[in-house]
Amino acid sequence: MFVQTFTAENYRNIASANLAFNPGCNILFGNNAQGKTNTAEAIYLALCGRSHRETLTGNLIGPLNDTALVTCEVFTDENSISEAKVYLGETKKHFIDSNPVRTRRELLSAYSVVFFTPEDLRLVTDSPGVRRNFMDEAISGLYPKYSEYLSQYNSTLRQRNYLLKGYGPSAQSMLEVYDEHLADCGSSIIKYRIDFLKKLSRAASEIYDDISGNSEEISFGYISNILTDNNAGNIREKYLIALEETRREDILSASTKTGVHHDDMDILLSGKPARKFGSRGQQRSTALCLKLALCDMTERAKGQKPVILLDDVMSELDSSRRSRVIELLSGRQVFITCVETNFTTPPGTAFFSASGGQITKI
Amino acid sequence: MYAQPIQKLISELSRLPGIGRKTAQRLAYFIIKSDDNYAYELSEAISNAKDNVKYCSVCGNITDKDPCEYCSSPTRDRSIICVVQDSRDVIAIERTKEYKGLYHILGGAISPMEGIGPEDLRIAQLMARLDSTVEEVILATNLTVEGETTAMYISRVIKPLGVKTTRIARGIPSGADLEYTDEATLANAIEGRRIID
Repeated sequence: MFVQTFTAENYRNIASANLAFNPGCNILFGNNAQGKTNTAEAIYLALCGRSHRETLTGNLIGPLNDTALVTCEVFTDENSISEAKVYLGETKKHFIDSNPVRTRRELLSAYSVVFFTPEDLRLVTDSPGVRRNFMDEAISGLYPKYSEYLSQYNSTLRQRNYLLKGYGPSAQSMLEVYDEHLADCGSSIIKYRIDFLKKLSRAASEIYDDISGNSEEISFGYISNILTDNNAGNIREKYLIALEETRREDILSASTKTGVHHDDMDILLSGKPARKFGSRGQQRSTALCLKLALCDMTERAKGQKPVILLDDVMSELDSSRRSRVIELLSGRQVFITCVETNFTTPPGTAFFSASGGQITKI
Repeated sequence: MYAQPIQKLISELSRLPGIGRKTAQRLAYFIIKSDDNYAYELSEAISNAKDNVKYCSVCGNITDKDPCEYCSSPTRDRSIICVVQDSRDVIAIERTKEYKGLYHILGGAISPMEGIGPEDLRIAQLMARLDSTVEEVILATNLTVEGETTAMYISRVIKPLGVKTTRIARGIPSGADLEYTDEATLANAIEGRRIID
């Protein structure tokens, strides 16, 4: 798929934009704070339902009035044209071909977009929550059923924690009901995550050599506080036993100490955790490789080439890696935001300059 | 801004569910502009409904006679009880014209976040109804986490009594095209598939 046209009104510092994009490579360049990232963010928002850096709708609306509008005309791989629109006012409203979008799942199944930012490094270096979010977002995009398990799990967890806060003698039987629910959803979540990481490892190992130039082997493992012995047999039973074991602790702390909401993914380079043992360069290549592998998986699963947004990623890479990344992404629509265009671009690349919120095709 | 009596009417109307400030204003002006009788008829209808409507002592349904029309009907199947969250669910099931058993209205669903526990619902009254004539309890609470939790809780307390408990199915609406059904619903339908005899 690719974004054919893009219009934005009063989106952050972009007062008005009306652009036609190239199905291949598109470079958005300009000094800092001129509207490059805002353009990439607006595309991501219209197609994926959320911003990569802002959760408050009000902060996405520009200074001209109280509303903003972003429209992307998308040419899908089924050779049809679809219009994704997001209206920002008091709330955020999404539309596909003028029909209101009820859940984010609808957007995720209609479009595929992968966003790269320098902050992706946090996937390797930061706390488990960042990696859990990555897994959840990625798997939800691939398997809609997963996001249902996840939202049921989170609602059940919230209810269970509330019950623990006001724990009384009659709460015991209720707790057992919530445990059954958590075990049902949680064991399915674990199965999806383990399967996802296996597939991601396969896709990543082909890519890592290319971008790192090293011969290390990259792999991803699942760190679970339920499955301590890596044996995935009868997860639900193990889940129930684990919840039972920590119940006393849960009641004392009024929170749920066991479950998939504490799990993590292991990122290994030649069997060693990249977080502890990887150099900064290796960690950067690993984060990039993770996202590129996700692109491959998305493409295979949905039969649709994702739109790639590379926000300020090029400045972090040396020249040989830049060309390797561009080569790896060929055949897909790519948006690259950068301050300087001092790298080799594929023939037919479209250039857009950003200055004071004005985006102009060169 | 408004005269005191209108202000009072608007603020009372805006307490109704689904009625915002603007709708309340519109309704208030409609009432005031209508002919004299309308306002009296409306207020009488409201207080009449409030005075004469009660809860059925058996199933908890909203009714004007106790026991309600379903509990007192000689033609309903007394071996089967359908458990729902709210009286409105009874109306929805009745519209199907397929169910001929009895009902039991819980008055909500278990939600610790809202401070609703099993003791706040009419579960004890349900247990008291489960004598030897009852063969099946259908759990028709909503398909939300709260509804599912309530169904699971009730099925656990009923289990020792040996009464069959069933849960309503989830899946694709009748007349819908598979092509346009959202993935999660379709996945649920496949998960809950049944054998064709």
